[in-house]
Amino acid sequence: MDFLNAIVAFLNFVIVPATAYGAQLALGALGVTLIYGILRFSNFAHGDTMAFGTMITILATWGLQSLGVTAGPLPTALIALPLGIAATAALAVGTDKLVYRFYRQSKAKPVIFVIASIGVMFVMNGIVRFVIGVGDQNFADGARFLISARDFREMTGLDEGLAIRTTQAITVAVAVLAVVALFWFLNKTRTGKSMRAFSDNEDLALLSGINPERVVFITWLIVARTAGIIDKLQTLHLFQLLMISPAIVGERPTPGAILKFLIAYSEIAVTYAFRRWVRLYRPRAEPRMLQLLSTEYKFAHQLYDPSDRASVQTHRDHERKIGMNLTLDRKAAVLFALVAVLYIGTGFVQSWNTALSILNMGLISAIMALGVNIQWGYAGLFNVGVMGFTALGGLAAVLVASDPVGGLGDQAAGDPCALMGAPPFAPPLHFGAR
Amino acid sequence: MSETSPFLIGEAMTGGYGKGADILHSCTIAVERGEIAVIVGPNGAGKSTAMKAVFGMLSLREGRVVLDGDDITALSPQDRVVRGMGFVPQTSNIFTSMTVEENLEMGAYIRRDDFRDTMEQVYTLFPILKDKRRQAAGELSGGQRQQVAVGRALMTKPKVLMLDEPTAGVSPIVMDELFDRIIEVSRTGIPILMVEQNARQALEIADKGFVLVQGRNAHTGTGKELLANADVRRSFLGG
Ligand SMILES: Nc1ncnc2c1ncn2[C@@H]1O[C@H](COP(=O)(O)OP(=O)(O)OP(=O)(O)O)[C@@H](O)[C@H]1O
Ligand SMILES: [Mg+2]
Repeated sequence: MDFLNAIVAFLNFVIVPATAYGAQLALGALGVTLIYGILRFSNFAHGDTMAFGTMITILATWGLQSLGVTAGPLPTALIALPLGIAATAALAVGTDKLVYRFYRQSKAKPVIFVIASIGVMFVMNGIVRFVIGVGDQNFADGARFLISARDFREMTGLDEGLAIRTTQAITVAVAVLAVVALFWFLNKTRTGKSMRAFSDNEDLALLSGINPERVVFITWLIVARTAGIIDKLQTLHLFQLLMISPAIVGERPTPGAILKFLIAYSEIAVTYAFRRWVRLYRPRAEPRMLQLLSTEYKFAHQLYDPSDRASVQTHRDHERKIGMNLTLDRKAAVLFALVAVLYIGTGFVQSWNTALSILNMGLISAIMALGVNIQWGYAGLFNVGVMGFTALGGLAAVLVASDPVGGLGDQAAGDPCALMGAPPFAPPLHFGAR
Repeated sequence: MSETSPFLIGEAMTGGYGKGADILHSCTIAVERGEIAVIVGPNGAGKSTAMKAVFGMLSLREGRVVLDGDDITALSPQDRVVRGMGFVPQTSNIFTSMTVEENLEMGAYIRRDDFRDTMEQVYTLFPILKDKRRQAAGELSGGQRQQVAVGRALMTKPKVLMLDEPTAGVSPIVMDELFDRIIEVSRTGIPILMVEQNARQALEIADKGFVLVQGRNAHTGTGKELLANADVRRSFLGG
């Protein structure tokens, strides 16, 4: 019985929320990788595009609710979703016409696109902030649970409950449908194949009479379609952060999206355990702790990303050529040990809260150092631009540090952090009391 | 629309890439109906550039391109495809991540009718492609890739075919075979304008030949004339 209880508890607190969360990430990652694969840039504005879609969906849901229209046991938001998708599509296509097309026609380098997308990100962000704000918005209705914890306990006679929210179930179902439909589209239809062709070899696609503007248009439409399915605005900033990494490394939609899905599992599994621990022993440190774990994860992710086959290959070739190795000599080991001692000392002597923020900063710096290292190793180049990124990191750190507890909802810290890839927010944990 | 003018001609073309220096200097290349025209010349002479110019992939400062009597100088490459021009570039001329069959389908992208017949014709021309049709084109050998590239261009049922070094990187036997296939294609009435590194062999099958040097027409004549020309023999055919 204890064994069953343990399994149910694990399902309830880890598997179910992680599946729903992972489905969201996978959807988002799909959109970003699609943009990367076909339009060839990492779209920083994707998260905010999604936020816009969500905003429209929420507004439409409120409208429908006030008119008394509901979908019975299903959330009203489901009826409003098509509107959200249509609005997002219009926004995406409009942005493309206004912004990206110009750069495409002048054959701008990808980095220009990325920078333009950062501009778009701020604009969209501004619109969403202005209209609806960034806090949690409650628009849930219909049956809240597919199975509630109490029903489950009564049904099975176990001590632990298993709750599945309607939104969670819908999210997963929609994600699965979207992925299946997308794969079918890309592999079986003429238009889908032409998009793959465009992504594979743009010049040859032109020579085959494939119209790039049409490919771009359809890409944005699909991206908009995958972007409409989120239940909380707050989730979006995490999206921004997590999706940028597969976009940078992933060539095809598959591996990145699936990888993110797995990561969602591990992330929730890891943070959940620590969250419990932190809440019991260090209540005030909780937000930072989570943030720290996310940074750490990011760090590991950058060090070795299995989906990044190409870079692994170049790395190997490079290694063979110049005999480079990942080195950890004695001097470095001593340095690390010293840092660890100082860190633990700070924890005992001053406070663990301070120690946590120090560690967080340390990890951020380490990520930055890693970036410089990689660039130097591969390109033999000292990049002054990294200083700019470091400065942004500093800014982000200050923003985060100045608002230790309430920082979870503050978006101001989000965007600079997004720029350097350090998540300031905890993952949206669907479990436990908030 | 005089019957005596070439079917496709890039006439007195001058231009280069982007804002860079001119690479072509009043260069002319052309192909008549039902014929094979071959462009030869040293590396960097501007052969590929001339082909791209004819296909509208770089903008000309001077000169014009005429297809079947119509001035198409201002048309985009896609529009030229619709007008019946097919082009196999020298490099990255296949979709490596897609299967052989998908490559052919993409070749037929502009066609809305049933193109299965054409695909069968391509498979008859290059039987190996039929065996490999479910395989990613990037996994084929160099010679097979060239066949995919030519097959892709044939899928539109072009009125004129432009090939940039179709035999690059293939063994002598496969090269002979490819030349045979190209002659076969030309017999179906499709004029062929091609760049070739294997100058002697190419000029042997050519009705018309153009020797380019540094972006200029150095010699022009029938294949036989050029093969007989002492100057051409000395500088390009190795004696
Ligand atoms: N995309 C490009 N941008 C700028 N310059 C180019 C480009 N492609 C070629 N060139 C230049 O144009 C000149 C002619 O090149 P082109 O490719 O036409 O030569 P080619 O005769 O086809 O040579 P090969 O026999 O080696 O294929 C060269 O000096 C080359 O450096
Ligand atoms: Mg060439």
